[in-house]
Amino acid sequence: MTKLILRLVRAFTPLWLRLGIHPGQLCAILQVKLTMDDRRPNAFNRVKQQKKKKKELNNGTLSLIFMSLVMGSLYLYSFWVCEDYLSGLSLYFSLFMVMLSLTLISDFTYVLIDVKDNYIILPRPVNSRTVLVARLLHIMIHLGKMVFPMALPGIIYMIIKTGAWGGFVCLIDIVLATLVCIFTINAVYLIILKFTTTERFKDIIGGVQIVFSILLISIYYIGRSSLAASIHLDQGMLLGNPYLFVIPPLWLASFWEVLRYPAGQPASVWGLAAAALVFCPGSIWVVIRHLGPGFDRKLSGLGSGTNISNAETAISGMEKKDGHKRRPATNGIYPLISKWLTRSNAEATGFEIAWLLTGRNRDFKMKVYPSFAYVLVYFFYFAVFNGKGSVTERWEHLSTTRMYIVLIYSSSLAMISAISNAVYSDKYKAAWVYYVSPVRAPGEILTGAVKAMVVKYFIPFYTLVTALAFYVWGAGVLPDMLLGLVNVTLFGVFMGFIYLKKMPFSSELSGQAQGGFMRTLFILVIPASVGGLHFLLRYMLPEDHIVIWIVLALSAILLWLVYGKYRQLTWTELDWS
Amino acid sequence: MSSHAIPIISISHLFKSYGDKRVLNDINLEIYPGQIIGYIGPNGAGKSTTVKILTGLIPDFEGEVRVMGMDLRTDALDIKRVLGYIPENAEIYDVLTPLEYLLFTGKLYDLSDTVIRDRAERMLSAFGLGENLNQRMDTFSKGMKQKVLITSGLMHNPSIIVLDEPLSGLDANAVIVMKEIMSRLSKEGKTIFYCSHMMDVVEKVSDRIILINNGIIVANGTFEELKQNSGDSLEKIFAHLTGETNLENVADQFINAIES
Repeated sequence: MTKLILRLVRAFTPLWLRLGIHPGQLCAILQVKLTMDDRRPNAFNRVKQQKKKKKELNNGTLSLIFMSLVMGSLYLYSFWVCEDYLSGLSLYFSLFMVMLSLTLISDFTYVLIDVKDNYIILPRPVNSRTVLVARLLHIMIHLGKMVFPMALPGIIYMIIKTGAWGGFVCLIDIVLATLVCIFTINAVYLIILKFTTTERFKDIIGGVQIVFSILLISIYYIGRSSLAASIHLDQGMLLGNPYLFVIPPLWLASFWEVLRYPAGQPASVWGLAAAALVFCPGSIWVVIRHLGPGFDRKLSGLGSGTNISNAETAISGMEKKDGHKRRPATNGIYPLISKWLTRSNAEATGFEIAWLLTGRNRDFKMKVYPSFAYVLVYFFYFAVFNGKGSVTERWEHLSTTRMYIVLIYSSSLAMISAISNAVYSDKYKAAWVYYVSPVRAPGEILTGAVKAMVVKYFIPFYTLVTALAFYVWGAGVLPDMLLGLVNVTLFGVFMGFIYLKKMPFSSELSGQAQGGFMRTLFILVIPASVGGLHFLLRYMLPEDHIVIWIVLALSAILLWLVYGKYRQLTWTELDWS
Repeated sequence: MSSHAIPIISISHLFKSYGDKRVLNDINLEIYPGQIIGYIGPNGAGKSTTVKILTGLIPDFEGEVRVMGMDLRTDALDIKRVLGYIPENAEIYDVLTPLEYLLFTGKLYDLSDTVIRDRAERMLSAFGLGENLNQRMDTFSKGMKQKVLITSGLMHNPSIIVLDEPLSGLDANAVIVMKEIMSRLSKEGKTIFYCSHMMDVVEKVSDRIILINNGIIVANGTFEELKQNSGDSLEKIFAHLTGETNLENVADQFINAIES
């Protein structure tokens, strides 16, 4: 693949020479960039690569193409939901453009702008035009690798359904959509970088991606059955709402309509098609004429920009040192909670480090926050949207069921996710500090961290869940909720004790890869079995029976015992790998 | 060394600010061919900024920098061609193998594949990395990466070599080799601009020592010349000229903090 691309680039040598570009250097830079793309884990194969960590990554490109293809096939879902091509294509292009923009935005920060470039390429005799063209080509190649496979299923679908001309117009639409995405990314970049730094920017993008993945999964589960029925997306609805006229996917869909079925289209569709023809190429003109120069400067200057801001922070740091001392970072409520809940210095350390780092670690948030939302999404899917009867009927009917038990035990997903992710960090090497410290019982650090996870993430979440349960089933479920709380906490501590004998933030990020079986056991098998028992108990007992309190007490005692054991974990029992 | 020779690097009235913080404040320097210049100064004095300007990493500055008679502003590419830079903080594409990396940087200097392969193999073998030519560098130690960076900076046989803390991470033997390489290069007429905090090495290898503090050159001369007015070791000279005369007191305060 890389060789083919390079041969193609080399074929244009006369052109490069005419433009004052050094072909040899151009190819050298491109070759290195493409090779690194192949080896760098990207948004799609990051998890996959971690599974086979020992094996070196060589086929990044292939997996990117494959994943784009899969994503592209998923978008076909729009045609199933909608009744006509105008609305189907609008939804299709919306999904296409949102996903493309989101992926590209994170790629721009991770792949396409490498701060190292400045140290490695700038001191060498390469003229700026060569560097610029190499960068542009790299971006275009990268785009091509994503856009074409992503668009392929849609185009094939259109060819099958509407003939070759329909497929061809769809291809034109895809190109226009890509142009709009580039414009969007440019604009977003320039706007955000105007207000904030690169690091913050990555955080913001991370946040957007969290929200979007939650949204996707909700639409997948909940929307599948209800969206089509309740919103009723069709041509009339789209064209009946003039405020929808500003969204580019609708232009693109109209563009397709007037070219494929020109006869009898209403004026509004013609107008929207014209908008596609004017604004999509227009947006790229804006990029080239107005945003482009600034963007290019950002692209090439991002690294030195960071340097400068680093220098500035260093300087302001120095000034602070000279002037007034910074307030010690012990504000916030966590030191207080730590004081209440922990019984030794080691435990307090574990608690505080876990509390602080989980709040600032992007990877942790990206992995854990969605799982909280998934719990609720799954619950609503199973309890309300899945099965016979209308949604409202099922909602009314809900209070007569014992679905709250599902709610309680599915929340262990959030618990397990928080606890198991707290051992990973990309700065895992910094964990040497635990191993040189004279801590007698490392288990205390671990229980401290687990407590932090419970207090910081699980209890607030469980409170929300309880409120929901009270709303639907009334306060009568209180003993069940308490029993659930103890049980789910027990799962967390138990999992820590059995399998997660690692210091907080001491392991290399390896996603869900480690202990697939154990994870399934703790996320699925144990909560499901205990939940089943809980259900059985509820089924056999009358409403407010003393037995439930007895079981609660027994569970609490068990939790106490496991916790005590976990606390006493010694260095030799610790998982050092 | 004759002062009548034409300077190979001349810097005049060089200023550089980040925001309103002035990092370089009227730097004037003339460096002659074949010299090893030891460029020293406390953290944040402006050493790295000077180096970054000289190597073209920072294109915007005030003042004039000429290298081999060429103006850095207008002839940056020609200057970069004769310059070899070994950066301080091991910036390297470490998913590549050393050979792939050197093929890349070598091509940026217009070297042919065969020349690069030949030189890379011989240079890295001399450094004891012959076995590692085709291993990805993400598993390399800091010293191994440093050896690759040194090779990459010297492979195109530059006339001027800018070294920013080149010995960091190297083991004692490699340090000896590197010092020997530096003195051989200077005997061949290469000019070496050497930035470091290792006073004993600077003291030994440098023909001339330039001390910069707060963006101003506070000393510029041979070690012998510097000794005459400030102290008998470069460490003491450094302390004296950067105004930290009471370092023992600093240590006292530091120690007292844990003992009380």
